Amino acid sequence: MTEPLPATISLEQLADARFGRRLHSGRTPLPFAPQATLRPRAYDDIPCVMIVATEATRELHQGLLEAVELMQSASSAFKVAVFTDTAGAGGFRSFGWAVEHCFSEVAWAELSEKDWLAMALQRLVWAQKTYGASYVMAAQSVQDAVDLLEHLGSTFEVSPAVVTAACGHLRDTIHPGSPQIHRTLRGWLDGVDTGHSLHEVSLRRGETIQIEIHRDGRDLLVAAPTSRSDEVLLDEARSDGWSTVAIDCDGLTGGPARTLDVISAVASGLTRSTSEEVGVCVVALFSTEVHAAGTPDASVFDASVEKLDSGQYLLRTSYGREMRFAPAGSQRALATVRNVQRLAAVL
Amino acid sequence: MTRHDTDIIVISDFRLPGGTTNSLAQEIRAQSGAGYRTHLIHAPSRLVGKVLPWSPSINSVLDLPHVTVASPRATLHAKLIIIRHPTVLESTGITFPNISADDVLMVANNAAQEVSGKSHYNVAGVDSKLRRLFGVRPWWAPIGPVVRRTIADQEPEIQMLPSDWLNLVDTGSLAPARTGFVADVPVIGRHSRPQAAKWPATSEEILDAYPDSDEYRVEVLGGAEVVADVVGRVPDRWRVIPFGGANPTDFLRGIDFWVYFHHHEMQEAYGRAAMEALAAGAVAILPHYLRATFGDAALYASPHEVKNLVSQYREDLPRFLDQSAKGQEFVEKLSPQLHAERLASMGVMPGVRVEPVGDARSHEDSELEPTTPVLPREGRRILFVTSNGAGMGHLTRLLAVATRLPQDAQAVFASLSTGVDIVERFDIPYEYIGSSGSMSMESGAWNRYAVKRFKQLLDAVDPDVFVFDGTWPYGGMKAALTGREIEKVWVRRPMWKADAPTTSLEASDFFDKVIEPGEFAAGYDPGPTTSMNDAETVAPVTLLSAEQVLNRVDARVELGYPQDQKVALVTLGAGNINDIGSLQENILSWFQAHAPQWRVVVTRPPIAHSEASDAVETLQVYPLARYTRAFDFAVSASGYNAFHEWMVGELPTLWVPNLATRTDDQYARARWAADLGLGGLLESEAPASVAEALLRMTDDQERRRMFANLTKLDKTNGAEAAARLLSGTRVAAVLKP
Repeated sequence: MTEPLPATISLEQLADARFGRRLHSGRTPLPFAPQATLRPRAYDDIPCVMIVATEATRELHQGLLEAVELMQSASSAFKVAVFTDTAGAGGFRSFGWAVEHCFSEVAWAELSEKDWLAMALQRLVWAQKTYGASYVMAAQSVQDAVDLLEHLGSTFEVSPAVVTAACGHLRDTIHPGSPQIHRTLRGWLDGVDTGHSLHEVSLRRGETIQIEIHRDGRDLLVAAPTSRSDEVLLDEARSDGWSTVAIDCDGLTGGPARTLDVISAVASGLTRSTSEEVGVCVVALFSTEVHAAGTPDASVFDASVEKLDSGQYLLRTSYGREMRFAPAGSQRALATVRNVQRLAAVL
Repeated sequence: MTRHDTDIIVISDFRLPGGTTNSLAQEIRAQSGAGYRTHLIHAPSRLVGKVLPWSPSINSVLDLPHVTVASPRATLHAKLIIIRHPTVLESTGITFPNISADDVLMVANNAAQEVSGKSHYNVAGVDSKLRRLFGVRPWWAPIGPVVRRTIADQEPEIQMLPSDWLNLVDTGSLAPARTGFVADVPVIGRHSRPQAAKWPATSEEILDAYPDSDEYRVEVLGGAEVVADVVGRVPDRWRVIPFGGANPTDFLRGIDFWVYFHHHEMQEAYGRAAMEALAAGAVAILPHYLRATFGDAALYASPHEVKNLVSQYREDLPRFLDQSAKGQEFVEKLSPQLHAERLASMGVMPGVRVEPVGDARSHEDSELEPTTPVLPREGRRILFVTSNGAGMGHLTRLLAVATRLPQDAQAVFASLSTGVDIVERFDIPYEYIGSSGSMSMESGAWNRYAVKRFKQLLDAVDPDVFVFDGTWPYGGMKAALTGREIEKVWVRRPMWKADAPTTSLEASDFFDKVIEPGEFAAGYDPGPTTSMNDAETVAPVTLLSAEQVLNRVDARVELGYPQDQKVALVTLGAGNINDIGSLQENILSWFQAHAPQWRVVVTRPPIAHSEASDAVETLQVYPLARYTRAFDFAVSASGYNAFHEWMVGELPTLWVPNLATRTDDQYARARWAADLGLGGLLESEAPASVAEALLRMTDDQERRRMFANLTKLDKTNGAEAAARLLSGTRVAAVLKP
């Protein structure tokens, strides 16, 4: 039985783990050729490079494909097929390459309760085999894409000057400091930098959430603040050296159940890499109506709250990390804490 | 002051073997040495049909200082763009969207046409494309007098540099000055590619220029198969080395006289081989026309004068040495310094080394379980599949049906059309499938791929009903469907051309149901589907029903058109299978000259491959039919969708049938409309016919008559009935006129 795949992991991450950065030799490429080429049969035996380009890495697509185009045109050492769930977005067709398209995550949700990532990976594996792709390129970030371009270049003996140019071109197409807008929770939460960052996520048509992240300490507080008292708790956590995540769920559709799903996904996405490395546990706070929708992913919640004689409250993780905070005279904060307490009791 | 990201952008097809890229590499080397920042942009062209990497000479300059490779999609502004080879520019599909420069130089390194008149490139066309791409009037730089003359012959007014853009020579390869002859008899040699055009056409000319005599030694580098064909033999006295069989520099240093004559129908644009011979110190004897290129650096003769000329110089060593020195001096001038000087003369100076913006060198078999949908369904799941087609017809027709399904039915799309993304706007799940054309695959190989691809699709979607809209049900698609318990429906548009291939009609047996979208012009249908009795016919299918089309006032408000302005819509199709450019230009020119008060709007369909000109007002909205009433009339292709949409929207239309379609008889539709006074029919694209037709369409009374006739049509939308048929409800077939 296959383990459920995390809601925030991207197909690129899975593809990279699955296919690695290596040449799969002995593959017979599908006899396709770039569109409108003069002599398509000349491409029959040229090795196929498959680029994985899903919604999770949309910001990379144009630059990455242009960089690969440069390397392909200079070397003629490979042909390209793009595996994507975003046929409409990438401008892939302007490159004249083969496009293998699978249902987007949003579309898939209309068709099946099964995990989109499992479907997409299964389709990618099929495509790699059908196209006889001897190299699968699945970049997860700009630096990752640069590393992959360099590896692709050395694998197919592309002139180093061309590889340098391609990497430079890729970087030029990414504008640092521009708003971090994401179209999925997949693929980016693990890599959020230390410090403050603001993210906008368009999850489905007309559904946008804002996520404010302070990545600092090992302990993480995830909240969907709806009042000033929730903000107080976040401030306390930050001043105590915790990492915090504040999710503005106003833009979510689908009611408390949907909000719960999103909070759980964000929490697990942000903590997965950290917890795997340093064993951090997580506390999540959310409003009563969200909690009423069900129990979140248990693996990310592990805490207890107790009232101290001083009138302060103590938030304690199972492994001994503690945070003290004052109720700040806010009934709302207390109520929120009680939710956590109740949750901790359940767990 | 304009900011320059680089000094020079060099554009060419870097895969070209031989002279073009050799010369280019010399210039790039010279630019690097002189401190020019150079960006190289590869432009694939029709000149290279093979799958080739960039040429070794280009690869050899990539690591030079200040030389950078750039993507054609990079954003760069340079002082100068140098493009080499007009045919590259003429045939490349690259549009260099963000590349610009203060000046553009078109280096013409081959003749615009041959002596025989055969054209190699269209000077005016290339010039116009350069202006369009880079927005400046280009300078032409012929590499020699021969090329200059052929360009001027085609376009006397073209803007050319006053001096020829001579190819550079690696002066490091200049041989030491000659001090005597290389043998006790005159050594005549030549070096060329082994092509027929590189040799004189007659036996007499060949043996005059390259004597078969003990008094001479003849050395040939480049093979002599042509000689064997023309003369009937290769003289035994000759020493013949195949092309590439010896180092040209070494070879040339072993000859006294470099004698080069070729076929009279050919002219050398420049003569790199002659230049190499001069560099080696050989005395060159060339056809007279090359005097304009080489001046007194060479001797000139006809083939029958060669022996005499050779004798004169053989008998006078000082004269020979003097001529040899003249040749070497000539070559010496073609040093990298010459290149820096001519760039400077154009005002292009080496830039101070700064970090350029956009500088590409910034220093710096599945083991998983198959997935099957388990979402509980209330109604039927219907998978709509369309072929690619020439326009958006198949997709739009199925969208018309899918958007009218009962609430408990679920639509899913898969399409071979590159316009499939339009489906996203309807919140319908969809996948794109590459067609054999888009993947450049032969149909057999593509169908083998399609079997697997459609199986994936069917496994994922698990539909109850499979609906295909296209004239040719693919073998691979049918194979994937075979054996599955899925109701298979073919939405088969009628109005096939009378001579359209009918093989695919046999596929109707494969389908459980055939639905035929109706045709207003059914009475004019000459095609083979009219004799089939396998289909359930519904009324004409349109995406929007009459009541969904905006009224004139609202449509104009949304599009931003004044209410009182006369507006014509020109929508000639995607232009992917027929050339609509010149007709469109004719139409626009007519309006400009004869009806300037009219606002003319041209559509740019979602699947058009080429870019529209900036000078034309374009409209890209979907569905366009929603705005039908914003226009006073249309000039339109008569494909199924446009035809029925304009009819439903009661828009007087000048119909321009696309005759290049394989099956769709657009002409019959258009003729029906014209015969019934519902619009006009453009029978010929000649300017006079266009003018006559437009004159009629711009006549208010004429349009009123057409409109009155259009209002009488029954506008029942067959999409409703088709949707009910697919969702399992039987409906009475509605037959249209």
